[in-house]
Amino acid sequence: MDPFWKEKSKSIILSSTILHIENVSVTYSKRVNILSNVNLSMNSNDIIALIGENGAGKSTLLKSICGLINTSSGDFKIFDKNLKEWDRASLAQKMAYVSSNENVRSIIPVERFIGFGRYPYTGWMVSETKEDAACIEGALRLCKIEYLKEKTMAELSDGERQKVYLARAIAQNADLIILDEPTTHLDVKSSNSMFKLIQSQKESGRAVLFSSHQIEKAMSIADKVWVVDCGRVIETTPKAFYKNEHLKRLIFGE
Amino acid sequence: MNKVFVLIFLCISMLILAVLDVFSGSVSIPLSEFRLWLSGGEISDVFNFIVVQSRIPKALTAILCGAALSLAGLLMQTLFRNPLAGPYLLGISSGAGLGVAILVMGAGVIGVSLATGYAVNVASIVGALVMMLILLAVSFKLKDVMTLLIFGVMMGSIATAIIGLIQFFTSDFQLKSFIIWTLGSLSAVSFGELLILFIALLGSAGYALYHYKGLNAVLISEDFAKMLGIKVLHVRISIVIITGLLAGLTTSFCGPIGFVGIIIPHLSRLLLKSNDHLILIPVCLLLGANVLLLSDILAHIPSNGTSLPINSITSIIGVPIILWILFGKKNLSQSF
Repeated sequence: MDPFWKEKSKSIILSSTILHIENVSVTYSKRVNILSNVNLSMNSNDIIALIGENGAGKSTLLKSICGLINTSSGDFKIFDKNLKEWDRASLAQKMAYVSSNENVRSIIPVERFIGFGRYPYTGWMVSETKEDAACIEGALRLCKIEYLKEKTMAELSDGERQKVYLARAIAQNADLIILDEPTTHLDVKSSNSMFKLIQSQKESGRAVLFSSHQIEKAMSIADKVWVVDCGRVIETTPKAFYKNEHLKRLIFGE
Repeated sequence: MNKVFVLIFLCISMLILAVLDVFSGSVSIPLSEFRLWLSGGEISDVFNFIVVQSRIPKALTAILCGAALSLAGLLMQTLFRNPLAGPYLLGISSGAGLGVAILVMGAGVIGVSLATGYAVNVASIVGALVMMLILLAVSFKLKDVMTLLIFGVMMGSIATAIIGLIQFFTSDFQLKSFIIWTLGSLSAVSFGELLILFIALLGSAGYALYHYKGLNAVLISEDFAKMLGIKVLHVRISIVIITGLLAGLTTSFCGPIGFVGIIIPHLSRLLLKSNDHLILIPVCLLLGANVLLLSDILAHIPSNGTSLPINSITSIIGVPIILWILFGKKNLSQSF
């Protein structure tokens, strides 16, 4: 393990609530309720799988946590501070997000792209410090993608690109990483290594909230499961999920 | 190291092209006269008129306008996330032209002459800014690369059509001065105007470079930039102001100069194999200066005392490059 990451994991000794979702509702064109009265919380060091049908509102929930879409009611408390009170640059040091339709094929070198994760830490025009370089190196090593360093984003496969997105989020050195469907379009091998990577975030003291359609894999690495059903979100654990016939039917069908 | 090499190479080639530009033209200037001028000796009136009053300002105009148009083009491509965006193709230059047409010919109708000096510059900048704001507003609705492009072309056509209508109702004299302006010319830019352009360019380039991280992030996506703590609205508005200012100023000084703004960013990316604005901005500025100097040298080829309109030269160079970009890339919206 990199000494830099170790230091981070030491600093978090007790688990505390890092995300609190209070009575959140999201409506679409004033009629359709995508999410209604969602109450959830997430602790530091939690790995949470968000599952549900297509169009159930998984992405909506994740985006609204990030403040990318407006909620019709309710509040998000992130690290004991209301989402709206956060200055975006300081929030970016706490929370990283990888969108499901992030499709970066521009000719930016991989190393520079991962360096984007350092933007919240560096001022305007300031080039990379030693700490930034260490974070980028560490993220590359953690995701085992050092071999991609010299390539540009345009030259990567889907699996490699997804790992680079995660590496960028890791380089951002946030305590909470939100991943929207990180394993879509990936082959079995790549998605396996993706899940392993997500699991390994726990060791570095990070919390991960991710959505996925690969239920078995997601269950095997998650501490908690959030199931989205008709605008409600039900919190459960992987064990309890498999015992609950209603939830199983909801996810797997008849 | 590779990037530093590109920068140094472009600096040197710019100096060489600038010297060639000063020497090229219908009247050949003996070297001895230059030596005399540089050593502070007495120079002839002919030399003073041709070189000091005409060719040197023209070379400086080429450098500044080339750089300004390229920066405007680069920022527009970043803002719209569209590889085909540029001040000329998206109708910004036409907007500036419409502003000038309304001023030059409209003022003639009411019998006052406002067609001189800074009023033209202001009209041009206002025209460019208005066009830029319309495009920005529409770009929220039309996300597709091609649709926005078609919209820009249509707006340009409308501007040109309105210019045509105004032309129909104006006197021959004002018409002629406007037509000459639309052909584009690097001469007839005074030192005072050059200074204004220089300051505007310096400020814009400095500002863009200072905010290179915001530009890099906005190019990926708006949500992406927001999650990195970038003030997206701030970046958007400053790009609109900078491009309106630069495209408006260059158009008012030299008339519409086509395709420099769209091809230079592409050639720069090709040269650097990177989309990082930190290096892309300086390379764009230098490459733009190089290409416009070269175009000006090419414009002197007839060497019978006249020079070809610069807009024709840049279009002849530019259109094949755009076609090559269109045909050469499979997925235009993602791969730049």
